[in-house]
Amino acid sequence: MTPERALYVYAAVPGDAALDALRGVGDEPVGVLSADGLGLVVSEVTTADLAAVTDESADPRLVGDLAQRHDLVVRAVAASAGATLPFRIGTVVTDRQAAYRFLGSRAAALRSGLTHVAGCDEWGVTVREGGAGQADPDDTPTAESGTAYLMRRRQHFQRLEQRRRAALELVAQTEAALGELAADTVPGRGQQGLLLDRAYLVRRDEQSRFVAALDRCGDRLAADGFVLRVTGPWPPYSFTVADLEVTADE
Amino acid sequence: MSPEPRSKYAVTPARAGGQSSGSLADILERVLDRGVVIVGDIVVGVVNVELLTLKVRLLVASVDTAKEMGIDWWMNDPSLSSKAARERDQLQAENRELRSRLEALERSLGQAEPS
Repeated sequence: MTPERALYVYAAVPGDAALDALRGVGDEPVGVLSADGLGLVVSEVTTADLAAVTDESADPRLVGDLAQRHDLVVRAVAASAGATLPFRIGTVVTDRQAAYRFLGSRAAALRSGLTHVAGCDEWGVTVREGGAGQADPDDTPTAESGTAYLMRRRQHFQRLEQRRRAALELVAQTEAALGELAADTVPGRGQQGLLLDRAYLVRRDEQSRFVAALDRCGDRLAADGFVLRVTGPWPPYSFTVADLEVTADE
Repeated sequence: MSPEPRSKYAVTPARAGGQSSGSLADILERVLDRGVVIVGDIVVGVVNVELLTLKVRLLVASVDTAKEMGIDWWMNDPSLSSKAARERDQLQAENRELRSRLEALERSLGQAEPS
């Protein structure tokens, strides 16, 4: 049976983390449960309310609201608590005992995860084709001979190939420049049509240099008609430890 | 607080802890399939992420300013975007046309060959 009230989990933090007053999902107050030098940022939630978000007939905007509230809390926590491991949106544990049990049984993994992201922010970086320079050959004159047509197609594909090589080289340069300044990096979700899609974990004391590198790379890419797009700084959403399984007998 | 260095290529005024967070699409991209996942008996229910993703796509498809929201992963997916579907149809039509032109060329070349 699903209990009606449960705990929504936003993030893991060091146990001594202090939070400002904060309202979470369902406008419930957010607090920290601490044990063994670790903390879980939680708020109470009525499970039926949360389940309603994915109900077929529910307004999809509810998902947007949930995501924004989740992000707002994680963001605020990251700003005041220092090291922060964000949890997947919609993670709910049964009660405080369960939360403490989780902290106790997975302390080592959580600690190493927190150490990994301490003092760092995440930056999202993508590069895409700027739209120009891809133009297909213009409309075929009707009187064109077969040979002329094939020549024109060949030139077109040669241009595409040159463009592809230029893109590869510029993206490699960008990856090298940014990777050098980052503590860690992971691929993004692999959107179609992107030449580069990565998340970078950057120490705050490297942030100025990282931003300067972004601008240099962006200028270089723009000169050739490619578009750099940067989001961040984010809490380290993409740099969290893998699944943390907890079984019944723990 | 020291001023935040900010890339001129940054699209979101995101500042960890700030009230103005990133665009909804950017946020969704980060919170949907990332973050620590707990599996086991203590979990009541991680919101069904597949269903959530589906709903997000519905949400995004219903927003006129989707493109301004920044990310366009749904726009490249013909099942989600009429623009992508249009582009796919155009591509298919172009392919058909090119194939028929090629066949015509090959036919005329064949005829021109001395027999």
